[in-house]
Amino acid sequence: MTALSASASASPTRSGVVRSPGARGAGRIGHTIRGYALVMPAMALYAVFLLWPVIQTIRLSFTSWNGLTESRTWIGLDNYRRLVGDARFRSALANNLLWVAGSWLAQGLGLLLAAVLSASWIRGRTFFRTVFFLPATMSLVVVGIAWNQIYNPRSGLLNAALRGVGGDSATRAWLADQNTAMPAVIATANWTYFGFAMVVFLGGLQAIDRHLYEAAALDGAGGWQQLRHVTIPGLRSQITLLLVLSFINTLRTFDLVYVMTNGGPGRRTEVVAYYIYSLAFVTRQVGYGAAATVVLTVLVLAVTVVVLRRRERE
Amino acid sequence: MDTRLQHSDHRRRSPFRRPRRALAVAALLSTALIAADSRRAGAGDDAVQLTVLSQFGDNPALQNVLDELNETFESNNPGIDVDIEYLTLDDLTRTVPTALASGEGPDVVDYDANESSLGDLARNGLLASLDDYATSYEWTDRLAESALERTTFDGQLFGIGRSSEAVGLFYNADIFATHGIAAPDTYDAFITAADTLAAAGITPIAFGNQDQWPSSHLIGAALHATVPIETITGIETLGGTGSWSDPAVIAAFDTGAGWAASGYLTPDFNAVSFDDALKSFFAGEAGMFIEGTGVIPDIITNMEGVDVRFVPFPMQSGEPQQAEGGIGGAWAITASADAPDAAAAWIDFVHFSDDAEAAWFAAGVLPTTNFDGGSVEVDDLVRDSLDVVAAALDGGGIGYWTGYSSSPLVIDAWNGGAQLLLTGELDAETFAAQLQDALEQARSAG
Repeated sequence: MTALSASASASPTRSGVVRSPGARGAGRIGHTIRGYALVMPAMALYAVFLLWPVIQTIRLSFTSWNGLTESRTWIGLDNYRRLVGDARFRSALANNLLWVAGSWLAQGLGLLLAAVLSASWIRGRTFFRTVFFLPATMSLVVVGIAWNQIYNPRSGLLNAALRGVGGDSATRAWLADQNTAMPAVIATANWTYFGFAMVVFLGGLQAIDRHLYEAAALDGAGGWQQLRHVTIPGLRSQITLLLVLSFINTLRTFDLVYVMTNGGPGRRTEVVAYYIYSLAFVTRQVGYGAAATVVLTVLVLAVTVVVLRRRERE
Repeated sequence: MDTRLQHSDHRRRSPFRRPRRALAVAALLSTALIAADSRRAGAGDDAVQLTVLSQFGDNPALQNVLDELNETFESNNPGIDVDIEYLTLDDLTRTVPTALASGEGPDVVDYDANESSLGDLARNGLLASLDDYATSYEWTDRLAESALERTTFDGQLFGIGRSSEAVGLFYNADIFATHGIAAPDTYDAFITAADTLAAAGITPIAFGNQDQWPSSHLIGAALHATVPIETITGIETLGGTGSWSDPAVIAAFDTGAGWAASGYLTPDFNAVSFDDALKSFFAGEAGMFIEGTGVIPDIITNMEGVDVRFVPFPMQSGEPQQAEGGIGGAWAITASADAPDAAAAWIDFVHFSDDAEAAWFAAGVLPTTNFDGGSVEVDDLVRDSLDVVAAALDGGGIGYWTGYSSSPLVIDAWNGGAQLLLTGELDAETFAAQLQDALEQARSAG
C-alpha cells in the first residue's frame, strides 16, 4: 500500500527514473550537504585566518596588554576614549587622507594615459602599456629602497637631474624635509599605482560603444564634451572600483613608510598602520594598538559601504 | 649519532624521479622534519639541540668568530648540536619578544642589555635567571661589576654582557696632520678642529640619522660631556627619579643641536643612513666620527693604512672623564629553553673560555670580564678603545645609551623628536618634555 501510494504520486525525473517526493527531498538534502562540504574548507580557512583574528583584535581592544604576558587587564572603552584625544592618531590619519587624495591624482593620470593609449594613431601602444604597468607588479619594499636612492640628497637621480637643468636651488633632502617628505613618499606610492589605474580604465574604454562617440560628434560635441558626457559616464564602474580600492589600500599602507622614512622626519610621514605597528611592536601597547586597528577597519568599511551603496542607487 | 650525517645520507639515496612523487614525499618529509625539530633531541636520540639567535646579522667578521668558537664547542661536546641564526639587531628586537611570548623562541638570545630591552623580557618572565649558573661557573667572580649591574634586574642576573662599549671620538689623524689640526683631546680642541675642517671644505663630523638611533650617540656624547652620571642615571632608569627637563640636560640638547647649526655634521644628515655616514668617514670625506667602540672592527677592516685614532669624547669643562655606553649585548637563556644547562655550558665556552676571550678581543670586541688581553695581538685602535673605556671607568663612569635605556616608550619619543631637534624644528625644552612624558608613562606602568 505504501509502495502503491508512493508510486502513484511519483513523477518522472529528467532521466526517466520515477522517484518519490521523499527521495527527491533526500536528494535535495544530499545536494545541500555536498554543497556545504565543498565550501567548508574555504570557510574553515576564512574562519581561522580572518574571522578569528578579527574577533581576537576586537577583544584585545578592550584590554591593557603588553603582548609579553598571559595576563590582560580588561579596561572597557578606555582605549577608545584615549584614541579620541590622541593627536598622534589624528595626525597619522590626516597623512592617510593626504595619501588618498594623492592616489586620486594618480587615477587621473591613469585615465589620461588610458585615453591617449587607446587612440589608434599611437604607435607602440603595447610597449607603453607594459612600461607604465610594470611598477604595479613590483614589491613595495623594492620600490621603497629604489626610490630611497633616487631621493638621496647627495647621490640621488632626482637632485642630479635638477642640477643638470640648472635647478640647483630646487635640490633638497626630499625625505628629510618636513615639507617634501610626505609628498615624496606619496609620489613613490603613486608611481606603482597609476599604471594599474590605466589598465583598469583601458578595459573600461574598450567596453564603451563607439557609436556613442559618433553620435556625440554628430551632435557637435568636442573632445572635452565627449570625455565628460560619454567617456566618464561609461567608466563609472571602473572609477568607483578604483576609488574604493585606493581608499582601502592607502588607509592600510605601511611598507613604504617603514622602508623609506620610519615615519620621520619626526612623525611627519607616520600613517595609521605605521602608528599601530609602533604601538603593538615597539612600545608594547597591544590593547591600544588593537583599538586603533578596529577604528581604522570600521572607517574603511563605512566609507566602502557608503560609496558602493551610492553607486548601486545610481 | 650525528643527525646531520643522517640527513645528508638520506638526500644522497633519494629515489625521486617524477616531480609529483617527489613533491608528495617532500611534503611528508618536511612535516616529519618540522615535527622532529619541534621536539628537539627527538625520542631515542640523546643529542641536545640548542638554538641561538645572534644580533651579528650585519657583521660577518663577528659571525666568523662565533662560528669558529661554536665548532670547537660542538666538537668538545658531541652530545650538543647548536644551530645559530643571525639577524640584524632591528629584526631581532622586533621578533624575539613575540616569539618568546608564544613559548617558541630560541634557547639562547643575544639581546641588548638595557632595561628597555633585556629588562623588559626579564620582568615579563621570558628569560631564565642565571644566578645559579653564575655561581656554579663562577661568572660573578669574572665579570666586571659594571657589566653585572647592567644585566641584573630586580636582584637577579638575566644576561652575560658580551662586550663593553663606550662612545668616543674617532678622528682621521692623516687629515688632521695635513691641515695642521691638533688632536681633539679637549672640548676647545674639538671645536677648533671642527671649524678648521669646515673651513677646509671637509665635513667635520660624519653623521647619518636616517635610522634615527644615531642621534642617541651624537647627542649622548654632548650629554655625557656635561651632565654628571648620577643625573643621567636618574633619567635613564625606571627606578630613578630624575627628569629630562633638568636644565643641564636641556643645555646638553642645545649643545648637540648647536653642532648641527654650526655645520659640523654631514649635510642633510636626516636623509643619510648610518652606513653611508660611516662610509664617508672610511673614504676620508669627514675628519671625525662620534660613535661607540662597536664600529672598531669595521674601521679596522675598511681603513687599512689610514691613521685613525680613538679618544674619549672630551668633557666640556674639565670634570672627570665620562662616556656614553654600557654593554653592547648580552647572552641570555630564555624561560622556554628546553636545555638550559646545555645553554649555560655554551655561554660559558663562547664567552668565558680563554680561546673565546682572545678571539673576541682580537676581533675588536672589548671584554666584560677581568680578561687581560696583553698577550693578544690587536690593532692600535683596539688598544685605544680600551683606554677610552678605562678613562671613563677611572673617571666619572660610563653612563647609558641616551634615550634608549629605560623603556620602549622613551625610545619611541626619542625617535619622534631627535631628528627635529637637530634640524632646529623642535626646541630642546619641548623635546625634553616629550621624553619626560614617555618616561613618566613607563614609570607609572611599573
